[in-house]
Amino acid sequence: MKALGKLTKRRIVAGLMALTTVFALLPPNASSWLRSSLSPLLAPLGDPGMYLALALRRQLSNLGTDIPVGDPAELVQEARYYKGMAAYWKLESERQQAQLDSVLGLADIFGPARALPAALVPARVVGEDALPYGRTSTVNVGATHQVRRGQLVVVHNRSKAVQALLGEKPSPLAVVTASALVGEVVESSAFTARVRLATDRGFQTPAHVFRLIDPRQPRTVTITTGQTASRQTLNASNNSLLPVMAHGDGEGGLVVEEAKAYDNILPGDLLITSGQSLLLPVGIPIGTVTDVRDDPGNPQRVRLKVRPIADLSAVREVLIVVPMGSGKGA
Amino acid sequence: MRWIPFAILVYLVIQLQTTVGKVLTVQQTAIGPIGPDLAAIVAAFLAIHLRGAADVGLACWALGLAVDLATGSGVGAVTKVGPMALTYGLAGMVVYRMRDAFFRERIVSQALLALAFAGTAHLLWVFLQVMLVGQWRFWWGATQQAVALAVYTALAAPLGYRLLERVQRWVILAPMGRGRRMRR
Repeated sequence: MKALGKLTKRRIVAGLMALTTVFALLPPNASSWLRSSLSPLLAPLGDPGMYLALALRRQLSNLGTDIPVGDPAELVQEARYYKGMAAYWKLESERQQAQLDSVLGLADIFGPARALPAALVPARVVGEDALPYGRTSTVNVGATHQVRRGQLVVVHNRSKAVQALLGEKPSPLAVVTASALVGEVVESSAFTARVRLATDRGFQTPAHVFRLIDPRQPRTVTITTGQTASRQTLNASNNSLLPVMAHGDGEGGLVVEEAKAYDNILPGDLLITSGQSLLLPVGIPIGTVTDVRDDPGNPQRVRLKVRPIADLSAVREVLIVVPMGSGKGA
Repeated sequence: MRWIPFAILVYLVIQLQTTVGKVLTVQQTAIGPIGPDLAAIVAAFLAIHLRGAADVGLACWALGLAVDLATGSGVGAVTKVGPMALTYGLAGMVVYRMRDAFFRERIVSQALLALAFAGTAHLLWVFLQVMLVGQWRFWWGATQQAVALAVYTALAAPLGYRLLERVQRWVILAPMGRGRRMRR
């Protein structure tokens, strides 16, 4: 005991440093547990803080102009987006119908899904990452609302036209399909959860590219059927969804590496979540392709840059997709 | 050092940094988003003004831990808690050792000491995080961001110091006076 001597500040600092070193070497779950346990402390003041932050951002972006900047451009972009989504949902509807027809004989046993097998938990962003390296946000709901790691987070499309179409109380399925992906839950405590935004370097998701058909600019693609490949003009009947893997670039967008060059993906095409999960069998729009570049190492591949549909730097009200009957992610 | 007001100051700074402080973040296409580390400004201020080395170490460690707890990602994976507390503590000691070579009333000195603090803390943090989570492919990008962040923080530091001087007497019991010898 004498060796320990008097408990001086120096010894306290040395002890804390040693303890911190040991803690940093523990598995990632320990860090997640500590972080999520203490994050509810930030939530009460974070709410008005985020309100103020977003109000300031809006004011700064409109500084020096009487008309909010970007309005005409936004309308053009919105029109293009809805045009693309309409085509996508037409294709998706046909695909679903074909699937439904193929399993009609089993309909009595299993029955077709009539609604989204998930609940939508509304949440509010109460804080962001302290440092600009990563892109995560803290939301004010947690495990008490069945929010768990791996669940997807979306933002409702705020367009008045879409809201009018959906009505006062839209079904969860309608809300999800008219939403845009924000990210996924990575940590959850009792009252708060941390959401990794789609633009974060660590975010990764299987997705589909949907090519928009523009009669003014027909494009030629390679269609493979079995062992044979042929060059054809893209039309509604041969426009299939292209499976890709998308990840955040850490700079406000997403990147798709190694997309096939012969699929002739162009700027403006849509990126949508794959919707392959049995718990959430719907695709959620992610973003639009803004740039297509050749892969210098492989002429058969291209690299896509994608801009998210949702403005992830200004998102405040979000919806967490909580699959029913399962605590695990979709 | 008055530890209860200090704890309130840490809470408010982290709250500010995770909400309103994000307004100061700028998007730089080549590097990525760059924003000032407000907690580093407070830590550098304390490293310049506190009397004892142990107080500096303890205060910087606490601020670093708070930043660690409020940071969820950055190097391609969920970040570990602890490295920022260690690097803040270390950077605090670096500034504590350097401070006698500077006139702390000068804006340039304040900015240089803040640069030393933020540079040391963030470059080491990036290295430690990348090493701990094993995502070396993000090291170069995050290092560039760390350098830019340190410069931004240094530029914002003199303004931060003006504000902190107003609350200094609430937090620091007996600030180090000019010409006094350091108490080790």
